[in-house]
Amino acid sequence: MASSIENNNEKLTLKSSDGEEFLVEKHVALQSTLLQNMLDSDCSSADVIPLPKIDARTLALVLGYCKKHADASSSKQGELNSFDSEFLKDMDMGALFNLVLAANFMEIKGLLDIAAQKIADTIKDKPHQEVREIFHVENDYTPEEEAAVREENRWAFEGFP
Amino acid sequence: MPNLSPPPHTTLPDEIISDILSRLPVVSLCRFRCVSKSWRSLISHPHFITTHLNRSTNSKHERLILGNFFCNLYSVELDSSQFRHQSLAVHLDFAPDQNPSCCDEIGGSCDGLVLMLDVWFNYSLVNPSTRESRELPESPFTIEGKFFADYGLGYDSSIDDYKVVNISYHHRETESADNLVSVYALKTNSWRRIENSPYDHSHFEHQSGAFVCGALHWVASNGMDDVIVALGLADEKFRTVSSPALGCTVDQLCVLGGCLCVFVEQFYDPGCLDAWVMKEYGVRDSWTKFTVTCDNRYESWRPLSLSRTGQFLFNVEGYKLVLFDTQEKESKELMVHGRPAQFEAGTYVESLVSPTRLCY
Repeated sequence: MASSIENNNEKLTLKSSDGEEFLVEKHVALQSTLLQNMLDSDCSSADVIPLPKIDARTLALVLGYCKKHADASSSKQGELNSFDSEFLKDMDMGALFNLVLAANFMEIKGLLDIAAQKIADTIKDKPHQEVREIFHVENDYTPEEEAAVREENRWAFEGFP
Repeated sequence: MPNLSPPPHTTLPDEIISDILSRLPVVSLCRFRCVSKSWRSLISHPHFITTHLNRSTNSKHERLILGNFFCNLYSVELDSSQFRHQSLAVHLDFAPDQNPSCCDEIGGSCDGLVLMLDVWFNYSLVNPSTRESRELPESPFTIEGKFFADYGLGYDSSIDDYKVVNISYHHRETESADNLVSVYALKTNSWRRIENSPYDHSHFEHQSGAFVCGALHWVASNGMDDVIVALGLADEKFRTVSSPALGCTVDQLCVLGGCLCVFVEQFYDPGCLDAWVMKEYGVRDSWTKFTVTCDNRYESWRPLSLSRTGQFLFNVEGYKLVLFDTQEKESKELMVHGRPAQFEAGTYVESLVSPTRLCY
């Protein structure tokens, strides 16, 4: 940790699954516990760190989030909160899924939190059939079984197809 | 209209799905049991129920439950960061086999379960969020003859179970301080007798226990003074908790915002209440006093909730809900559309904890 603070201006290179390279300031990268652990274990910052599960579009978003949060660590929480909600505002479900996967892989707790919450807020009032499609869940109920589960929870379906 | 479906092969691992679902309200989860068998078993899993409960408790979004004596129950959303002045009561429709009984009084809540009782001290446990309820068997351990009771609901983390306590005693005019204490455990669905309370409970009839830090609390007498009595739900032993320096009698004891609170009507100004909040449990010096000023003197007022901005919510005389702002020193009625005219009230958090399904 001490070395990473001293060498605050150092940069490292991250490589997305589709081959794009991102030059990142070290203090920004430290928002990710995964990268922090790699740097702590003497991984040379001259190396390019491959992130094979994260595409360039998602990685750019993740790094935008990390930069804002790394730079704003001493500023007001309110400002960060409005950045967070603006950041996710018009994101579609596909981008949110990629983001939550990237945050999970790179261990960025704050980002995982807001992305998971955004997905939850988006699906909360949707019919279960639509949620099944969004999450690509195979319906393994027989029609009779599904009807029985629905009957047990009938009150929750008021106003739903 | 943005495209809502993700690219065809993006699927999320189970732990992320579980994280997302644990942020949903109970009504959505009840619907999403129909998504698939694996979603249904995830939503019923004890670990998921606990994660969801912790999130719900930490969000500090309490709800009010209102009952109108005919077992018609209503739920009202409260935003505890700052109470709104207008709300909507939603009627809770239970399936016929889950219809609650014993609804004369609301006797406290714990982890989303609400204890309800009738005038004969028959109890039921209701989860208003999942629309489930269970009538408890009658306690065989009550004091002989006509009795009164103190009661309460809490959670015993040592055995991961919910317990209902019944302390039965004679009317104070009989001048007998005898009592008989029994404990009901949800998993065994039966009552057990425990040691008697060494305190006299008959001076404050019919108290609902305040559950905080693993213990239920009531006001009782040690023969000379009023004391706050605690029953630890794990060791099932009675002890006392230090009271604020009052020099007068306690009118009500309750738990608000996770803290033990004592309410005292001011002797010299009956329109005012002193609200004492024990900010750090068990620490005598942490009792902090707030003054609640009312415009009128009310016959009956029951504290229900405390917002983060210092507003107290009371059930006043069973027909209105009043907000008292301790900083602005003003009171306002909380308008709730669709509520019953006369009601009993309590608070609870949303949870999936089931009063009926005990094994998984």
